[in-house]
Amino acid sequence: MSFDILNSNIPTINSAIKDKKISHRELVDFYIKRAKKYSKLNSYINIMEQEALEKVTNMDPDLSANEIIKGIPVSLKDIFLMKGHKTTCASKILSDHVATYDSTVASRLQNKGAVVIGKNNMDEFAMGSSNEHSFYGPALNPWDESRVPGGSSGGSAVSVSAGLCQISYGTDTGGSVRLPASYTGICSLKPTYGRVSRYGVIAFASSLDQPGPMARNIEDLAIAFDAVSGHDPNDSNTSSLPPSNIYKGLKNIEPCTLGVPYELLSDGIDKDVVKCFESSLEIFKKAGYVIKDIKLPHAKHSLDAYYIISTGEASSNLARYDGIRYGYRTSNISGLKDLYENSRSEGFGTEVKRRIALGTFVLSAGYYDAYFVKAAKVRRLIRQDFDNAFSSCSAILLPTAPTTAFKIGEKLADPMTMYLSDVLTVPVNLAAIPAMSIPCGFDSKSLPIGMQIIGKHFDEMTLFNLAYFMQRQRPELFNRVSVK
Amino acid sequence: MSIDKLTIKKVLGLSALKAKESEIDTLSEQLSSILEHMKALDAVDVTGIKPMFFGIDKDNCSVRADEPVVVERALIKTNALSIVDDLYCVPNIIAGDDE
Repeated sequence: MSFDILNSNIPTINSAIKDKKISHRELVDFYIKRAKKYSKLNSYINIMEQEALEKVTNMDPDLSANEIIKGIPVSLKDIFLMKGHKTTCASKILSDHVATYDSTVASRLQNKGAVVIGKNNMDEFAMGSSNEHSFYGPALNPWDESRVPGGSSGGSAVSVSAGLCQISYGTDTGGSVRLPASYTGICSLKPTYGRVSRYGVIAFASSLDQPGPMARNIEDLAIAFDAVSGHDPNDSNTSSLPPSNIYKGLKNIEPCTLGVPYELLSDGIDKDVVKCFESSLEIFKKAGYVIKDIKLPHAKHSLDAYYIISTGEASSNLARYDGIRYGYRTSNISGLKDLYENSRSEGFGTEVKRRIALGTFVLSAGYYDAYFVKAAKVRRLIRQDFDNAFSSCSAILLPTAPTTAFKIGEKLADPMTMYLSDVLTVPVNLAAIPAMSIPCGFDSKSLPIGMQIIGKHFDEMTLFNLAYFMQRQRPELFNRVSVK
Repeated sequence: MSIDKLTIKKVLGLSALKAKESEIDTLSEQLSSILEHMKALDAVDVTGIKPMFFGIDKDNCSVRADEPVVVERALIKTNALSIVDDLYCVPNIIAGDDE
């Protein structure tokens, strides 16, 4: 097989299949073999080899125009339910759990012929910024295996970056597809809240959780988003807008005004990150874009509001794990209270227990108004800041993370330091707006740096066209596989 | 704000969680540090601001018809920790009684 799969996007692969340069089975087999070869990266919890190969055996190579994702190998964060398959959320408490129905993301992909080749490692219940909080151990960053890949969708990011699948899907509650994309040098999209169904996605913080695609290039990211977006009667928070049609709409756009909240770049951001980000701004400027300093006066409070709201919601959502109907059950039982407490204490990891405790505290009588309600009011101010900013610019640019990938274990002892990794991503989740992370360069240690393009509600098209512009300006940063 | 060990124990009880004394000390320190950071919210004037529990306008959202969804019984039972005579079986939870 001489066809170069790793450096090809989905449309190129489809053309090669049509021209019989490669078959669907060879494509799936190629990625499964790589996923197994690079198992030390720990990006997969489960590889579904037999089922995936059976699905593509004798698949018709003649694809119609709307079968663009048919036969394409996809991986899913192990938070998406797939009927009859284990879905663990990287937790001991769900380590034997078999899904009884399909998530909407999984069913839409399968209905369109995509081939799910495996379920990815992640932070337990999507709580984490490094993928170190997994019952299955940390996923490793393929650019430097002593470093984290970011979280919580770390396994998905590694599988895309290392070329262990064509595209992947994660979820983003406070930056969980963008942060790992930045740390591993790939592209990801956190769609507008309500653009992709949460049905069958194990809940962390329901007002913030949003599934999103991850890919090595913008065309694949668009195709991956189009495949799963749109209204779902099973998620009453999904928008009634028709499914997106981004891939066919990718085009050159007239230069516009882009906002940069320079005030957020002052504290705690690595010099290399700022330098790379500013070099990207120069590229936009040279092409005629206007870069405007904008104000988001309440964004600096996003991290505090986020950790109050998300832990409060998590405390409520995770109350369902009781060791009775499904999930892990302790063998140390002397009464009902013991059964609950021991099952939960033995079944949940440290970070999940810490967040449940914090969430219970901020929801408790006496503290609810001072913390949870106050955070919900600040959330409105943060959204209003974005609404005001978008009256004078088409999109907002920011680095994705304050640093590049850090060493495994470096931040584990101090949760607050770990939480600060999310400082530039959480404002977007609170405001429910879309944001994309794309590669924008490397630091002095040759580790990838990402930048965010943030848009108005449901204006993913503008984000994609701006990213598409950047991909054409700096092709060397895209479609890059970290492990050859 | 600091969160003392007694409050941590109350919170753990409400969360249906247990912890050793040494873990309670660590949790107390860590949550105190997080809550200290959150004190910054005190400086935000939210007079007259309504809380926003979802970031989107829910005008476009609709609730599906409340119709029963049938899930395969056999598949559900695969997740049961113990089945006896086709019924879910839970441990004896009355203290002092034999299994």
